[in-house]
Amino acid sequence: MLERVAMHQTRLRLPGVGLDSKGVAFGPRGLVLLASIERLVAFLALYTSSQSLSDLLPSLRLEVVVSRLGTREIVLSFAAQASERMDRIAEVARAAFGYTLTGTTGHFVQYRDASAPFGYDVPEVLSVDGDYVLYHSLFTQTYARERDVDLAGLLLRLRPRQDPLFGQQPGPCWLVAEEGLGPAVVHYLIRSNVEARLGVVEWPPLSALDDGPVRRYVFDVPDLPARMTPLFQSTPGVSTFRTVAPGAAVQTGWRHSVTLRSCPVFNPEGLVLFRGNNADALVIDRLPQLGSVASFARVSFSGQAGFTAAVPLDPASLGHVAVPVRLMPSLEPWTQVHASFLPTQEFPVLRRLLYALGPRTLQEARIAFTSDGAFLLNRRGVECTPVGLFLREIRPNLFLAAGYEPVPSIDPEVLFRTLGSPTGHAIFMLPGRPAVGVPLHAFVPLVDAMIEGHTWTQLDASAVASGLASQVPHVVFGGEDLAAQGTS
Amino acid sequence: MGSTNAARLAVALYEAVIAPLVCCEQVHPIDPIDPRDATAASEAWPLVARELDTSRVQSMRLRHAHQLCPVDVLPPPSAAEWLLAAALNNVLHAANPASNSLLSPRRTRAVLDLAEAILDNVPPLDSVGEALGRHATFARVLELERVDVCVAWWSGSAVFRGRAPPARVLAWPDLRRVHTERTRLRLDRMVDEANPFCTAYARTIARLVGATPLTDAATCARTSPKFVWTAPSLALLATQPGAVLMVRSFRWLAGPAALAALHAAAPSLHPPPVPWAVASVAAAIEELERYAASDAP
Repeated sequence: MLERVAMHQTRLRLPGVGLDSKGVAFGPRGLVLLASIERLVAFLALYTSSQSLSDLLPSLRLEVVVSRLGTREIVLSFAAQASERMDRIAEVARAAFGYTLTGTTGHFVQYRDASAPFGYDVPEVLSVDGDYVLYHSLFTQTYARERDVDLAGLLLRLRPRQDPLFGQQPGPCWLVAEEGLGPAVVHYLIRSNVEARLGVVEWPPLSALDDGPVRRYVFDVPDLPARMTPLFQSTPGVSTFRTVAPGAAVQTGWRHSVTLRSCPVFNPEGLVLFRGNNADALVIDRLPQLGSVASFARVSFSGQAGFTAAVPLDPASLGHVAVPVRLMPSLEPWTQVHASFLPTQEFPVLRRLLYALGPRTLQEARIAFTSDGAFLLNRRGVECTPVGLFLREIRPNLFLAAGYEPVPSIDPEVLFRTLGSPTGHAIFMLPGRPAVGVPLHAFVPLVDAMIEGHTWTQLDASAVASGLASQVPHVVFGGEDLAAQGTS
Repeated sequence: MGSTNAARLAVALYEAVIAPLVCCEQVHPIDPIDPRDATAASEAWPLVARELDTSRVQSMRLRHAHQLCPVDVLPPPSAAEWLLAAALNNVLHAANPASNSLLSPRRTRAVLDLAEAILDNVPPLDSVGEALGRHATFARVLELERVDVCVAWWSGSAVFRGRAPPARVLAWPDLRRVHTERTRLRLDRMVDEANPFCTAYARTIARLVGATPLTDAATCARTSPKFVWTAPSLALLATQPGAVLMVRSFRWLAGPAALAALHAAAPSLHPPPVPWAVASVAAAIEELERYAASDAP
């Protein structure tokens, strides 16, 4: 049994443990005892989700220890420094089903908790062999140190778990392509006018059966267009990664269990690529020299030294070269859903729905009525008006039906140019019908449409007639008819 | 009053007060109206309405109603609305500084008494639709403004309250160094605080606005007259459709300041005029607070 430290107590029996300025029993080192590696991972995930490990790392030691009964447990020890740090760690350890102790290099006593706000002391010090002697209110145990656990190695062994939302937003990313696919990716990026830097990384052969080293193309893409993300995600042999910490990146669509930004254990000059699908992480000790993909463009002149003067043709004699663009159903996540299309038969529903909206939506949302239906624009998202067909804004003033994508895949800017780059118009592309351009000045605030509601649709009068015919009660107070008073 | 005179008064009141008020145009009050004449005009109106084109006013009333409810047909102004319009006409007369003269020093008091007498004849609300109709007509009553023009020239100055200065006063502006300044006064500010009838004037406006509870709710954030719970507004709040319209008025038309106005009006419920008043008002405030949380940016 441990003894609770009393207020104003000055001496403790456990060597190396003293009282800090607040009277809390406190040793120079802290220790967290965890039952297994899984608990250690849980502890790291919880701790790094709220704070950085960088201040703990210089003094952090992870060890596997063996008790006298032969059970193996994990000891995580560190410089305690102050009771505030110990309190934070104790809270996290409690959530990970660990025990927090304080002491010196050998003997550790349970750290303070709610039942003993000033900590604990031992009734007598055990004289036993062992690297760690732990005194806890639930047990007193000695442990022998078996081996160290490397934190970086542990993080490398952890497999990322699926998170479809991770990395879906546009931004910088790494592309890793197998050797055979590298040139194709290079030319695809050049054709699409996407800036990127390229390097080739080599790894030793995976086995004696391999002829040579494993080579992969690594692309540093500062701004990967959103439309390319699903393409690279679904192409075998190409993977996209998002940087989550200096020297560490995780495959898009997956997430590491531990917040790597809070664990600065990887070399910032190298790169660790955590892959999904239960694959091992790729470790690049030092990033190779990267060059612009534009340098890899192949230029041929058909073997001619000069050029042949072209004979201009009459434009009327030229035929049209057209690529039909169709909208096909897609499983891509819906983003930037800023508009909706309402066929005329849904107008009554919309009109009733307007009276359930908030004033901000009524002021900010805008609507244009056409002969085919109405187009509703709301830059804050049209989820609050759940009627009609939702449309994604793939570029300013170009909207595409949500759940569809153009086939063949085409850059939104190119699509907009193809449609004539109309200024002052919003273009809407709906499945099964031609693109519709609506002048921006035709859009009016939703609140105006509400006030002029009778001009664009008529409602069934019986729906509101019963409510308006409701009799107002005859209010009488103190023998006097209040309703007839006018004011009270 | 004969039926011909009543019809003539109804047309004059409609064209001078009701139509401009609903259509946001200039209101030109007619002569003060006696309570009996007001009642006669309200009864004579259906006979003369067939000969006038009221579609524009009805269309504008519909637009005011659409701010609260998707109703596509509104009945013409009711008898109560005619009485309220007559009372408003008298209130505007009372606000005219020229109404008092040396020969009739108590004219303002008399006109206000006429307005109060007409308001006494306004029947209580009988249905939610009646409240919506009153709001459709009087939605902008507190937006009425009087333009006072102060003209100063090299040798003097003059103030023209609610009327345009004559051309001779504005003639030769450079030579006479004419300086013109326009001041807009809202309905509740048209009578100076120094005026001995200021309190009676404010009370009459409060009664006028209180008789149309949806307008009262839609303008609850006003500075004067302060919003208080009245019998018509509590009666409307007691019905489920009426409570929906009241909450929409507070939320959409009065805006975020409505909650503060409702909390400030709480003393008007002590002691509670009816047993369920506090619970109904608390439910409305709770609903508004819920909306305020979701409407916050």
